[in-house]
Amino acid sequence: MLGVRGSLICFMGSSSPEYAKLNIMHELRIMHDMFKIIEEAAKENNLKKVTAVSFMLGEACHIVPEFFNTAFDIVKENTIASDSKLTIEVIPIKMLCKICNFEFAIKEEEYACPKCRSLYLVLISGKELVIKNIEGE
Amino acid sequence: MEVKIMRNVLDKNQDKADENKKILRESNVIMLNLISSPGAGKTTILESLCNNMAARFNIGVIEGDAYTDRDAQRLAKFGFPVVQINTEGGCHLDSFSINKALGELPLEQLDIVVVENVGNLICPTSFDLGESYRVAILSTTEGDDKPAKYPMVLRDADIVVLNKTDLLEHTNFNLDNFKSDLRKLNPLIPLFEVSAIQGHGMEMLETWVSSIILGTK
Repeated sequence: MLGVRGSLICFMGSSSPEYAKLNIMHELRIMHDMFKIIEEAAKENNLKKVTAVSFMLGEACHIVPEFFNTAFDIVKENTIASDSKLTIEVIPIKMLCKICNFEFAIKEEEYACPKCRSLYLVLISGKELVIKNIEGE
Repeated sequence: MEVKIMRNVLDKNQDKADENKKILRESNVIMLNLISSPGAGKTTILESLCNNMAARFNIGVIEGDAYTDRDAQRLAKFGFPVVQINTEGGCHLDSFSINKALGELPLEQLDIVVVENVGNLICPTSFDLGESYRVAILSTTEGDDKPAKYPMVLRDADIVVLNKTDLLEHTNFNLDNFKSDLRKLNPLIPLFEVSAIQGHGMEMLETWVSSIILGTK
């Protein structure tokens, strides 16, 4: 989980909800778009209430899952999902080597193929900000 | 009841970014997205580019700031069109605000649009604006550990500009460490070492900008 440690320190230093809101501005913005999708899906499927949301969070998005949960709890109030629980699955940064087809997770921020040392890599996971499913009744 | 969704939350931003790309392509205009921390020198670099390239190219500027139009005022003196976007505290620009700003620019008269994103090394990275090239700007006074701390901005950038090289001797910035960390992260990325205020190295950056503009003509 490189790249997110700095933010975690801010989070630990803040106790008031207002301060927390300022710190998670970015997450709140993403959450706003997420709730639009949740509300659309609930409407399409005639759900009166959403009880659970399952989410895939890519490590490359530099979002701390705890922040994301806080943002979710702030935004869910007075929505169809006000009593729901968010489950976050963190997806590691994985690359595919275009030369030898080896798939590997990034360690210590070194972007070279561990097998053949090639630099021609494509990202295959780690940028997810994906709503997997919702549960409701 | 379980409802399968499998949708990326940024899908709508991506769709609008693709639309922006199309608008730019149809008008034959290149767009740069400048990303840096606050104070790394985005506006100063942009001032220098506007000043030195005004005779050859028509530049449009989109200024993203959380508050105020101070940067837009700094750039207005060059006589190029400048659109100010205030995000009201928001930490990044998105493709919707850029779409609106592009609508306000006389694209048919322009060669290049430069977007100065909100000063921030994390949030703008996730939001494609539809830019042709992403430019990461770092500065020697920020320390040499930025590649290690903010890998994604450098992984996703097309070029890196290291600004304030004139201050190098007054800082503990280790250029070798910086380059080796950057190379691990993005081995092929071009690095421009400049001092925008003194003008050092800016002609190389101007050559790069000219070449990408001329490449589309």
